[in-house]
Amino acid sequence: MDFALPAPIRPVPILLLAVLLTAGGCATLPPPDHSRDQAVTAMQAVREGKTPAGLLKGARAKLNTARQLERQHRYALARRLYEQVVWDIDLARSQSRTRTLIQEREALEADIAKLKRALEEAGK
Amino acid sequence: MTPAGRAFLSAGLALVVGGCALLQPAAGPSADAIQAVAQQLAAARADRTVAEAGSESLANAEQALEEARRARGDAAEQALYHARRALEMAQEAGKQADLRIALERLARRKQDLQQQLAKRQEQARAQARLQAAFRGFDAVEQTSRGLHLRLPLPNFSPRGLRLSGRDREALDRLVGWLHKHPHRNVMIETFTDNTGTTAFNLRVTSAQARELQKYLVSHGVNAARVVTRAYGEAYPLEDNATPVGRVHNRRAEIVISNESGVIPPRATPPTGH
Repeated sequence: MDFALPAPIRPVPILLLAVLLTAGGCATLPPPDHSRDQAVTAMQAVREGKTPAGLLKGARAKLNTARQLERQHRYALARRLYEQVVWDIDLARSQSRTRTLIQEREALEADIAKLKRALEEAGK
Repeated sequence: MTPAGRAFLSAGLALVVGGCALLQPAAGPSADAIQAVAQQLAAARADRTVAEAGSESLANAEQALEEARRARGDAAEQALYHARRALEMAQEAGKQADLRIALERLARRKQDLQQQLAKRQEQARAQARLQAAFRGFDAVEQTSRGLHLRLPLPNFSPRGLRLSGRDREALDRLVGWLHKHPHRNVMIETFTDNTGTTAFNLRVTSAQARELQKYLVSHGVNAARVVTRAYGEAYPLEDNATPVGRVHNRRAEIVISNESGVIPPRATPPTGH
């Protein structure tokens, strides 16, 4: 089969177009404004010290990576990472609530042990 | 078109078609990974607490898992990631529900213990006040019959009651207390050891009780407020086989009523040692 292009189309301009499109990557997608805002808001709402450190550290690193990707116009990847940050932080906050409840339980158990000792003392 | 031109053109088209795909290689999750999350989800559904407390997250996880099955490449990976996180959220909700139940139970237990302790501390304070008010008596305790005071009578002889200075001081405190509490009545109960006959012991303890009653009445306590019960050798505190036990069994027990003025009789029948 003989492959022939119309005269005005030349291989070099096509190659240039291809390179430009490739360099642009997913630049045709809009920037992930909504998911970025959600991720940033979630990160700001996290109370330091109460949230499990590992998950929070990972989410923070992911947020920075997503920002870099966004600067490189790799929006699809950035959007996915922003979404993950939101889910990670939701989970971290839930784990933090669990931890608070565990601490409350431990405090109550300690109070009860103290009261039992006081009762034993008072009974002597 | 020259072969070189064709090669350029082919490469260019391949790059255009590749587009984003070249920058974001999409493998997608394996079937095993999806299956593992599905199994965890089923286990979470079977856990009643997780199913109830984390129902919303479980629904999200299920939806995301469906998406992971349906989608391809990165979209599927992302959906599976979401499913995992939603599942973990449901599990956290389950833990929190369990913890809240435990906290409620522990709070009730704590409150109960606090009340018990407060009651015991108040009893201890009341006991300390009574001990101070009735210094000189051997034992001072609140019983179901009333306030119980024990006065040792180790040296009683049939010829009469020989009260020591300490005994008189104790009885004087009782008199003072009775003056301050005119609605309280007194029952004087006297006991001895098993030396001698039962009839003799009853006579002895009757005489002791009368002597004590006389003491109180002579110090201004209305006679109608003071009743006596002589029990002879009954109700021993200790074993009559030993000298110490016999000394301890020779005693008076003074029961003071509450404000009603009523003193219930002894509940347990007398038993001899």
